[in-house]
Amino acid sequence: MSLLVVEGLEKSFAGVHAVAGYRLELPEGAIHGVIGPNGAGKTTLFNLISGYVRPDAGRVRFAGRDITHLPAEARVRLGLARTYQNIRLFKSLSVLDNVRVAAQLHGSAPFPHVLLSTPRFRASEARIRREAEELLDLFGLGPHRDARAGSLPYGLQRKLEIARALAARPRLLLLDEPAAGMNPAEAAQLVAQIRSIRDRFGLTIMLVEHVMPVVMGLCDRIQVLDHGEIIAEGSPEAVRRDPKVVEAYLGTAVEA
Amino acid sequence: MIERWQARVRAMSLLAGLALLALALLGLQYGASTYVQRVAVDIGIMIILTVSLNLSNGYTGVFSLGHTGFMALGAYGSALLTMTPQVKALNLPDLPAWLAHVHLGFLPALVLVGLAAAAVALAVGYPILRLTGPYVAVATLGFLVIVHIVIINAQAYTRGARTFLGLAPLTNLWWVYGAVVVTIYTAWRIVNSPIGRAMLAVREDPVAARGAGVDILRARLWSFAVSAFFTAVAGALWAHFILAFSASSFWFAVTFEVIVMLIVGGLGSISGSVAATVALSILSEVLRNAERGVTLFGYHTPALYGLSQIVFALVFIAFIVYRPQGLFGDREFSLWPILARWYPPLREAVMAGRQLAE
Ligand SMILES: Nc1ncnc2c1ncn2[C@@H]1O[C@H](COP(=O)(O)OP(=O)(O)O)[C@@H](O)[C@H]1O
Ligand SMILES: [Mg+2]
Repeated sequence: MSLLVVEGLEKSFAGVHAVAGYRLELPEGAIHGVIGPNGAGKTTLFNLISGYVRPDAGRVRFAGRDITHLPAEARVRLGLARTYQNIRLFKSLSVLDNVRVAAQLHGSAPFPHVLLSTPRFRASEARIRREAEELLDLFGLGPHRDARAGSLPYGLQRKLEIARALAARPRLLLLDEPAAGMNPAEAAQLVAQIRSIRDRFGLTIMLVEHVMPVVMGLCDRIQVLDHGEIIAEGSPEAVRRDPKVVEAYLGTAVEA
Repeated sequence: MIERWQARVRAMSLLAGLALLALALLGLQYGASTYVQRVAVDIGIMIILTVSLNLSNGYTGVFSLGHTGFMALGAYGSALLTMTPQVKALNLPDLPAWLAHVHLGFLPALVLVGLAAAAVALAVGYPILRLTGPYVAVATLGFLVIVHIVIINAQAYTRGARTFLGLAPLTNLWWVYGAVVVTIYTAWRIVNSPIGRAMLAVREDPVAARGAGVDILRARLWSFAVSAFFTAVAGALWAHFILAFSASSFWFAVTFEVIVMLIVGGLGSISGSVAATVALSILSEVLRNAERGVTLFGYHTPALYGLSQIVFALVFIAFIVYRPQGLFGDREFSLWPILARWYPPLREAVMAGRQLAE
């Protein structure tokens, strides 16, 4: 069954088609790649799917539900989490608190319990903390839990963003250029990590990426966007050889 | 293990702190001049104003310039609820009958004006808390202006621009510091809870906060309403302390004063708010006395009226320029590091506990 179904999605900014006629049927458990040159509309596509941008036309169905008109925070509650191309952490909060903000989504005690610090409040806080710390340990962030998120080195900030997204217990995870700014060794490690979290949490993943070894190594299927339109689609092998793709965008990058 | 132990120490130091506060209040009540007592009451009220403003301006990043409006609501509201029907007949002959006969105790009046202010905060916040940055500041300032105009025009309830009189002197050290304790306790509980983390997340990055499932408007409304509640309580305490006030009492001067204390203490630090309020209140009190001219080492300084306000503003500017994060930044004063420094076994115990936990 398809976890995410997108039909006829359109978005223009001041007459420029950022996304046009986009469609997708994403099976549960898949890792789906979206590539394309800068300005092709990849981030806009993620913003449409995650609810930050209203589409001009089209529908988005998630887990059998029409979510086209739901705001982003409601989509997260249904199990659709994401990371951002330009890292967005709660910079002056601790690493632990960054993850706790998302981990508290699933059950926190009501206000009177907070005020009186009842056993129910303390139990829910303990649950939130335990879940957050497990995720931090998974990404090797445990030793940094009390540091301010903004003080982490770049690579760890990317990991913290993924940990925070996972704390929302998503079914679908959208990763916008997760390997951006990483060196090849870090990128290779990231590939292994993304695969392992997919298996561990039973996730479906959709990712935008420029780093070709990451895309080719991870994805079951790839769509290529250019000027907002899908110009090619298929397995990594097929897309890599597609002359249209090579011409439009990849060029030498494919060989690399 | 260590956590339970720490919790026990924390509970004990909380009790010790309360006992110390009670002792200090007893000392003030029986051993201090009326003047010192009045300064202490004033400081307590300012602490409530600053800590509650910190919830919205500091923790949630909703920079309100309109909280003085909630203070006014608390002042006039509690006056109308607590004054006797006879006094009302004398001072406010045009009150509608239902209000003319209301005569409540101080505690229910404080709670009611707090709830009323929270309700107004929700109603006002619903449209304006969708705005961000400077727009929120301007919109909340607009709220203050509206409150001011309403006070001046609602003559039957407020005597318009004339001085409002006839309140009973209900406020004392115990009421004020009782309210201080409740305010700080509530703020502390909220800040260390999912509500507080949502507020902080909204301040740090609204987009990412939504992405973590936080309802931004809801978090902002929470902090705005809770802080309006305590601001109104402070207004009520102030009204029953100063006993005569008018619309112009709730205007830019007090707005500015509270914001200076908040920023000097540090946006996002409760202990910073308390420390800055105490320090700046004492400073401005000393300067206010010096305004009349003092004799120091044989020299007599001339009278310099306005000196205290000028120094206050200079301190503010100096902080904005040289230490914009304020005294404490967004950190809290904590006994642990100090205790650990002076008593090494404690430090070792804490370290050992940490290692065990890991
Ligand atoms: N909020 C916006 N307002 C105006 N134009 C936008 C906005 N977001 C994206 N665009 C435009 O849409 C196009 C696609 O951008 P984007 O989705 O960021 O591409 P990509 O992520 O593939 O690099 C670009 O031309 C960009 O300038
Ligand atoms: Mg992009």
